[in-house]
Parts: sequence; C-alpha cells; structure tokens
Amino acid sequence: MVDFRIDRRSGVATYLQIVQQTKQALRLGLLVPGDRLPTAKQVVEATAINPNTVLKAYRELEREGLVAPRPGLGTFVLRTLAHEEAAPDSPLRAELAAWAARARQAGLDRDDVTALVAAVVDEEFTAGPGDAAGKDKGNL
Amino acid sequence: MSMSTHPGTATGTGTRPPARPQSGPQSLRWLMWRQQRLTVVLWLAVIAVAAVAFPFLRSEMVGYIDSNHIAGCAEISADSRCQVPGMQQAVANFRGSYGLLLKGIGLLLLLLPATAGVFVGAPLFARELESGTWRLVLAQSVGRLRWTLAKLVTVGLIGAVGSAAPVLLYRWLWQPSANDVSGVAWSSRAFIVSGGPTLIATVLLALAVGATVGALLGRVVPAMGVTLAVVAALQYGMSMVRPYLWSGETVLIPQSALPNDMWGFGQGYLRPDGTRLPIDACTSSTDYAACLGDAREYSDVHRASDYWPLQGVESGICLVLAAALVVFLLVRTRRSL
Amino acid sequence: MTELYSGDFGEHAETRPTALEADGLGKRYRRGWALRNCSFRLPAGRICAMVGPNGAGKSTLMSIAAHLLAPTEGTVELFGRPLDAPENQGRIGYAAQDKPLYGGFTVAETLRLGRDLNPSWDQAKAEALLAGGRFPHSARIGSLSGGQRTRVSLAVALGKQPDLLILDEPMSDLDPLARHELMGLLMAEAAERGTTVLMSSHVVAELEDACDYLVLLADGKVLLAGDIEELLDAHLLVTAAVTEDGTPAELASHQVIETRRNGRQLTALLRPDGPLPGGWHAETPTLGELLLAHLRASGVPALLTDEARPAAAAVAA
Repeated sequence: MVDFRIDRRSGVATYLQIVQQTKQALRLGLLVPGDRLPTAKQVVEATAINPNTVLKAYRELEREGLVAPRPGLGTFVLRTLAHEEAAPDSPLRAELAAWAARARQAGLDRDDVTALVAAVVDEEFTAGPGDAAGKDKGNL
Repeated sequence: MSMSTHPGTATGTGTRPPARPQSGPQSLRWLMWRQQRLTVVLWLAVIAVAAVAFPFLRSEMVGYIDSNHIAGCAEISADSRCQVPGMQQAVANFRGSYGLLLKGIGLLLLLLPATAGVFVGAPLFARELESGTWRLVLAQSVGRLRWTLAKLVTVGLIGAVGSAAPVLLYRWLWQPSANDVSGVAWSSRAFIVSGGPTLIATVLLALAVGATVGALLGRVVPAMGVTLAVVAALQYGMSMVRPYLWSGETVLIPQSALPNDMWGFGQGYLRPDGTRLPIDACTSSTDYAACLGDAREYSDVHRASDYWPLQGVESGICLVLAAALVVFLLVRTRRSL
Repeated sequence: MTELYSGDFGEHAETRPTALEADGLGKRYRRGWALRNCSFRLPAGRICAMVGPNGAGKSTLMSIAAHLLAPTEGTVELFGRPLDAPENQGRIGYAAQDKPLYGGFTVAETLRLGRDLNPSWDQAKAEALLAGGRFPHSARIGSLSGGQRTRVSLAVALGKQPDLLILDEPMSDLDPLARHELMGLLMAEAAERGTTVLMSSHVVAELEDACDYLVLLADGKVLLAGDIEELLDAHLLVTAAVTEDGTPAELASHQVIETRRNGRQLTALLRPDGPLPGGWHAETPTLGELLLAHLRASGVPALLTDEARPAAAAVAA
C-alpha cells in the first residue's frame, strides 16, 4: 500500500504527483505485481483532493501498462519498476554503500555527496533515454 | 471499505444517479412533537392541577348547597322555597366565596385564546423564519406544503384538546351552582365562552391568527405583540355582536326582574303600536309619566334554550375565519416557490 | 449502492448528464438585482467551486438551486427536470452559509431530524462525519462552537445522501485540520456515490485541490464557467519589456483581460487568439491569477466552456 502525499506548492500537477509517487513505490519495491492500489475513495479521504484527479492518475498508470483495473475489485499492479540490481542486497548497492562510506571518511558531508552523485548521474544519463522519475520524491 | 474505485469500475460519477424512491418513511411526527413538547407538558401540568382540584372544589360546593338546601336559589328569589330564613345569607356566602372563584376561573379561561395565539401561534413560523431553521427542514426531503400543514395541524390538535379539557372541567364545576346559586349565569361573561365549544373555536382562531401574523412578519416578538392586539380585538368584537348571532325574543319584563336563566341584552319601552323607546327616553322629561304614556318596559332576551344555537354560530364564525387563515397560509406557502 | 461507470473523464465530457443547469436566472430584492441573467451548466459528478467576492450572488444562486428561493426570472433544472419535479424530491443536500440548526436540539436529535425526514438517510455516514468533532451526541446545538455546528450541518447534508450537494461556505468556521478532514470525507462521498458538489467560497485556496469545475460570479453575473484546466488553458499570462505606454499593439488581436505594468515590465492576462508576438514570455496562469485578473478587470466578456454552456443557449448559438 502507498500513501500519497500531495504538495500543493511543488508546482507539479496533482495527478502527476500521484503518478510519480506510484512509480517511486514500484521502483523501491513498496508495490509489487498483484498489489492493489488504494481506491479513489481512500486516496481522496486522506488527501482531500478531487476524485477525478486520482482517476486521471490511475488512467495514466494504466496507459503506461503499470496497473490494470479489475472490474469490481480495484486497480492492481501489473509489473514492477524495481531492478534486481537496486535491491538492498544487490552488489551494485553494496558498491555504492562502500563508496558513500569512503566519501564520508574523506570529509564530504551529505550535501557534498548528494551534489557529487547528482552531477555524475546527470553526465551519465544526459545522452541516454532519460528517466526523470529518478528525481521523484517517494513517500516511504 | 469493501468498495473499490478506479478508472474502470468505480461508482457513480459518469452515469446518471438513479431517481429516488418516491415513498419513503419520512415522518414529521417526531419533529412536531419535539418542537411542541414543552408547551404540551406545561399545559398538561396545568390541566392535571385542575383535574385534581376541581373534584374537591365541586364536592365542597355540592356539600354546601345540600346542607343549606339552597339548590336553585338565587340571591333575590321570588321562589317561596328559598324564602326560609338564613337561606339568602347562605346564597350570599356562597357567591362571596365559591361564586367568585367560579367567576374568576371563567374569566381566566377567557385569556386562553390570547395566550395560545401569542405563545404557540405567533412563534410557530416566526421563530423558524427568524433563526433560518426553515431552511434546515426544507432542505430535507419534505415538501414545504406538507411541513406547513403538519405544523398547523399539530398546534391545531394541541389547541383543540388543550382547550376542550378545561372547558369540560369548568362546565362540570359550574353545573351544581349554575345560574342561580353562584350567580354565574350561562349568559355571563365568565361562562358563555369559557364553558362551551366557543372557547375551543376561539383558541383555534387565535392560533391561526398567530401563525399567520408570524409567517408574515417573520420575527417572534413583533408577531407576539400584533397577535395579542388582533386576538383581543377579535374577542372584544365578538362579545359585542354575540347577542345578535341568534334571534332573541322580546318580553315585557324589566331587565332587573328577569330570571337568572334569561339573558337580557336590550331594554326599553314598548308602545302599544309597537314602536320602541330607548330606556332613557324620558329620564330628562319633566313629566315622566306623561312622557311614557302607556308604553311598557321590555327586555330583549335569549332563553336558556338559545345557548346551543348561540354557541354553534359563534364557534362556526371562529372556525370559518381560522380555516380562511389556514388556506391563506397554505396558498402563500405554495406560491412562495 | 455501488454503481459502475465508464471512467471516461474529460475526453467525453459532453456526454455527461447535467446535474444543474441555470438559464437566464435572475433574482431581484428590494435593494436591486442580486443575480442577473445567470446561465451555466454543471455536469453530474463534478466538484464545482462557486467563487466570487462577497455580495456577488453566490448565496442567492445556491438558495435558488436548493429550491428555497424563487427566482425573479429564468429557470433552473436539476438532472434535466424542473426543480419541483417529483423525481427531484430529496435529491439536493444543502447547507446554508449560516448553518441553521435548532439550538435547543441535541446533536442526536438533529440527526434524528435528518433520519425522519429523508428516505435515503445513512446514519453511519452522518455519524462518521461527527466522529472527528470530539463532542458528545448529547450536546445541545446551542452549546456548540461555530465549527462544531458546521460539522453537524455537513453531517445532516451528507447523511441525506443527495445526488447534488450544495454547500454555501462549508469550511468557513473550521480549523485547518477539520477542514482537511471534512473535505476528505466529502471527496470520499463524491468518489463513492458520484455525488455532484457545488460549493462556494471566497477563499480560492480552500477549494483549489478539491474542485475540478468553476463558476466565477461577479456582480450577479457569471464571468467564467467550466472545467478548471480548460479555463486555465484558454488563458495566458504573458510578460515583456515595453517602452511605450498603453496596451501594446501586438496584443491587439488577443482578448486582453488585464494588464499590469511594473516599471518597464508589462504583465498581461489574455485569452490568446492565434500565435503570440515574439519576445513575449508566456505561461499558463494559476487559478488564483486567473480569478484575480477577472475580478479586478471590468467589462470582461464571460467565458463559458462548451461543457458549461446550457443546452438551450448552445442550441441558440
């Protein structure tokens, strides 16, 4: 299950915030195939946003093939965005963790490390098929 | 939360909501009771006091009349049966105590229409309009005509039952000393309205007046004031025309000599040719006897048998007026939307 | 209770049935016209914000729509039928601005009133609304605070389970926490039953997240009506550096709503007609910018989206 957090001042359309947060949850493995998304009623009761906005976001997710409605039951996750390589016990993650530890030993603080990583990621992904969703703020 | 809502199969929004079932269990009964229960309880308490006190009072009165053998005796009586020494004193004593009480109760009951009109009739719609609560009720699934009618019927019922009870009790209390011993005649101011259906009809009229004034003014306190004035005027007007509501007869008995069960409402002098002279026609004349000539003093009277026709006509007038006001209110309610 | 729907939002908006349609609506009080020649359409299932300054005619329009006030001229239709059609009995829930309740009743008695007077009453729903209020049902209405009374009013309006919910300044007395909670419950009701909601406010931010439809009233007239995104997309907020005074000639072909000058910078809100001249920076206005510009400007022609145009007027056009 995911909780959507709507940030009115972000400048991002509300429905897009739901789309992005859902994708983030898929990426982090918080949602896996077969999971049910919260109903529009549940979402709007918690967030006080317009129900049609939620439905629009779910339709967008459906269009991207990430979820599918099952009549009378709800909207279910079809596939995950999580990469095995990004799982907690993956070698890639272990390498990054070791690198982060070294950076800290070298005297870099959190902001320095974040900026460094962002710069490297930017360089790496600028030419390729970008994945802007990486900058989404998920709600864990 | 068994319901699911998502783009494919959510509820409601896209299709036309189903039409409402027409017959519902809507009931105004509780609301009507809730809004009038204070009035009902207070008035029930008053009636309960009367219902307990009146039998005592009545048995005391009956006991006094029986022990002094003054049944049917008036204060100044030509009846030889009442000429026994001490009897006149006993009647006078009765009138000075029980008689006054009887009279007082009757006059108090005359205030019932104005009281009902001011405290129950006037706020009926004025309070709803003043506080805006009419919008709360009419925003529910009840038509305004039904609500208006329910309110009127409710206070009408309370008014009818609430005035019938004291009328019957008072009439029952009055009976043993009626007309003669107590001096409270059927035609007296204290009894003629308070002891019969006229009071019930007048209460209903006063309620209708209050409701109408309240609906028109929309504010409680002004509505109460206007209602009081209108009801008082109506009652005064009625008392003026009352004797003429049913044809009386003319008897050649001076007003002062009329028996207690006869209601004299007019007097004067009657000439043999049938012309009538006012009672004071000759008071300023120097030659009184010559002025009168062979004219004889007469009285216009209602006999006791006119009681029910008089009651019927006066009640009828009140009820017709009340009904007209109710129709006016209902038509106005309909037209306001 | 569950009813399925197609889920075609926006794309087939014109096929949505009409919840409310005002046509040439006018109301004259002794002091003058409170509402004049008001026409708009509200499709079913929309959450509509009725916005406008105080005295714009919001409450008058809502009272007429709630069938509590007779219009001086014009008509209102509810779900395609006259307001007083027997089919429409009980379909509107209404909470007036001053939240009228019987002060001597307890909260429980007020709910009893709703239960007795409405065949479609849902006691659980009404009680759910009260649950967050933290006051006992035995409390007298007269002893409640303004916000608590608002909560009770909304509970009665929602417990009725109406098809069209008309709420006049529903959130005005509530603290931000209660506002969020009640708006959430309101939206949940709309999601569950497809209830059409029409609510007014003079605080735009209050309604911005919840509403997808807008009716802007000013001086008793409709200035804007329609889907909020569609309305925003129909306008542009443009800025440029200008030297001469007055409205620049290159904007002449567009419908300019309002221009504001700050030194050399000119900002204009306009309804574009064709491409913009070069050198102008353009962006879609926010809802607040759109509303403020319309309220400040005078003599702006009304803009109703296709969806918001009454059927009768659309035929005439």
